[in-house]
Amino acid sequence: MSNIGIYGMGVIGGFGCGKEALSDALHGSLKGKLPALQDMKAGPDDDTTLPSLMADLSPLRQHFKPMKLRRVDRFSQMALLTATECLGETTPLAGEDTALLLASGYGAAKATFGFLDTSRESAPSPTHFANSVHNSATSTIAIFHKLKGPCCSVSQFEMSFATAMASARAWLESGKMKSVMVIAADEYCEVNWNSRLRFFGQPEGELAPHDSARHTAIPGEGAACFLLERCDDRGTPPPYGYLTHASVTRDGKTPEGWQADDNQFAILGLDGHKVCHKFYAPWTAMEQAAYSRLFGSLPTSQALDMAVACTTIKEDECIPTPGDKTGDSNAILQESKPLNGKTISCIKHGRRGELALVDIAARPPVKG
Amino acid sequence: MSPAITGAGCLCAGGLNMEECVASLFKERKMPQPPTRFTVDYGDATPVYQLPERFFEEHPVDLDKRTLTTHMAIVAAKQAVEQAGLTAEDLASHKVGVIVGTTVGCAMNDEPYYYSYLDGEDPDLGPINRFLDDNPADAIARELGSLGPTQAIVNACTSGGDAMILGRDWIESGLCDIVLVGGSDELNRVTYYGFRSLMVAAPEECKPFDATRKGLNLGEGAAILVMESDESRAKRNAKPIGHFVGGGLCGDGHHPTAPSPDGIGLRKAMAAALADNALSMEDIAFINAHGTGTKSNDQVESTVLDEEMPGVPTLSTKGFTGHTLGAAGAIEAVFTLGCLAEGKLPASPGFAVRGDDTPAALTTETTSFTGAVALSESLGFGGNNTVIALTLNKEDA
Repeated sequence: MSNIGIYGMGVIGGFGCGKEALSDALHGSLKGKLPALQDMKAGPDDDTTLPSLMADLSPLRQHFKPMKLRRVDRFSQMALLTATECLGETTPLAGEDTALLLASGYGAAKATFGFLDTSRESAPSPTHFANSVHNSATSTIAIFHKLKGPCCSVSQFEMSFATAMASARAWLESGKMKSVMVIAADEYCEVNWNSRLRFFGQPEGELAPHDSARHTAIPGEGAACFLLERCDDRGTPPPYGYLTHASVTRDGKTPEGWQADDNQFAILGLDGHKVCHKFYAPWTAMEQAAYSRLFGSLPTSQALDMAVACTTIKEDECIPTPGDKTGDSNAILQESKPLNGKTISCIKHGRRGELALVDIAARPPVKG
Repeated sequence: MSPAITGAGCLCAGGLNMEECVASLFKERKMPQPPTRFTVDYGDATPVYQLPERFFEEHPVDLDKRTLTTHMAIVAAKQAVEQAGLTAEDLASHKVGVIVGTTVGCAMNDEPYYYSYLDGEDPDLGPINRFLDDNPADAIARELGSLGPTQAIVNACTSGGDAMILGRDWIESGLCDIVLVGGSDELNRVTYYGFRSLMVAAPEECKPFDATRKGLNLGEGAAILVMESDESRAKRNAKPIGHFVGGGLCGDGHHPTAPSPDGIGLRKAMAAALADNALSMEDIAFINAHGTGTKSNDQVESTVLDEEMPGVPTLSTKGFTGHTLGAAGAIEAVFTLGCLAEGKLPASPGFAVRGDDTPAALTTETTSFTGAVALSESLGFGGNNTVIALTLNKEDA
């Protein structure tokens, strides 16, 4: 069986746009510099707001003319921007047959509500309807980049990204596909922000992901894209590491054959949601960090955690949790240190305790 | 690898289980009617295919807590599991997964909630909880006690077929031994308005591939199939009702809602489905076409079929079920297995005369076929194309 490598990456979130922006944000956090929060509308009136971490999509206009983007909604633009960055870094082996696999918790939420607006006020808008389907983003990427390979979109709320990675891995291992781009995206939508506010209230102070006593979650939006290929096909080591595991279990237990050891660094999906904190108790002993202060809370945040993991591998440096690091575990990383060949486990628990696990490693798991 | 299918559940306007659906497919055509579960506030109502009312008597549900999409998926899954003879112990494993295709099932589009929000009220959060709790794949897993991965495919109208391909891939990669695969979608006013806004909803019964076709009729339903590795099936001594022997999915990269005029994605998907088991056109007994009755879908699909599969008997069941969107690929997989078992095809409801732009003909009467493998096609928004290959006995493929 061939190893699967991560050969390209694109990313956007509240920290900025692109790999360099993410790296800068990680290093900036060591000096106490954190991405700025924006007060975003979270209700039908302008006075109700939530501090949020928002993505700036303006770099997309460096790649495509505004005229071409005029009918592309924000959700698809975010996905397109990360795919464009990823494709700008390297050319997939499969060329136009590259497969696209998109994961999202909410899908194109704003276009969906935009369609409801037109349905209520006048005639339903065909453009909003076309943009409202979850797979509009893969269609947009395929059209803009002239890709004619398999396209698939999946939605499993917080588990979306891990199941997409599991499927991408299966596609590559089967030998049927040569290059798979996995994209994950979730966008700001005031209706969803409003329901968050009503469920959880305003955050109680600064985001403190390891603190189990307070609700400190900050909503965010963002996207990430990863190009996966078999290492034997490429013939070169992957710059962002090897995908060694992707799974989801509904009972929150680790799957058969997977075992934590001392040689692992955990990136926890902790994002300040007090109600979910308890699910992370089994990971207390693993050396760990949580990066939600850089991009906020969103269903597909595990993809942004993986972007951090890829950066960690590329730079061989584990950076501690940005912002407040206080918590019950003694294994919370307090100072940056070399990764030293450790495997990185991106761990996300769902609202019912389900476990999404994505592992990447700096060194090849199977010697080829 | 060609995993076995050991059970199937199916419900749609034509029936409430696989046996009933397949039997009634060979009987008189059902006609679509204006929707009765929601009002139509603009224009004349275009007709749809709704589930028979007796479904709600036989399978009661509180639609404030559970979407009809998820409810239908669970009912179909239970039928499939029962036919497959799977026990609770068989299902309670990290190696049992669930993949369900849907469009409505993962959309946060509750009209009363949203309009109440817009009006400055504090609407009850029930619809949000329902959205978070009611992902159809996850809900099936919870209901049946399976512990492995779940995935909702939201790939528009190819979702049901895509779920079957991914199920095969999960088994082939060793991620799962058993995967419940399929699709489910309810009739919903938002999608109803959406298809009307695109001017593709027919004002009368749909007529796939026909010269006088005027568009599609929306439908609703669900189908779930139990897909299983040979090892798992042999261990349980379970009898297969069919095998999945090929699958291809491919995008056009052409237009957000219309297929590529040259049918490039469909041709590639078809080639990929055949390549999985080194099949050729001569092996194909019949094709279950996507055949919605819209101008652009039928023109492209018919042209591709005429060029790639000339003379192969072709069927469309949309004039029997309506277009069930994310469920269509799975429901049509069940019909495909049913027709293979019957050894004949019914007439394609709505088709009478080929159009100038639809060179391939559909069946107009009960038709026999030769060969052991059938293809089922799905085309969808975003330029998606999915083709699956099914057979009763994989040794015949």
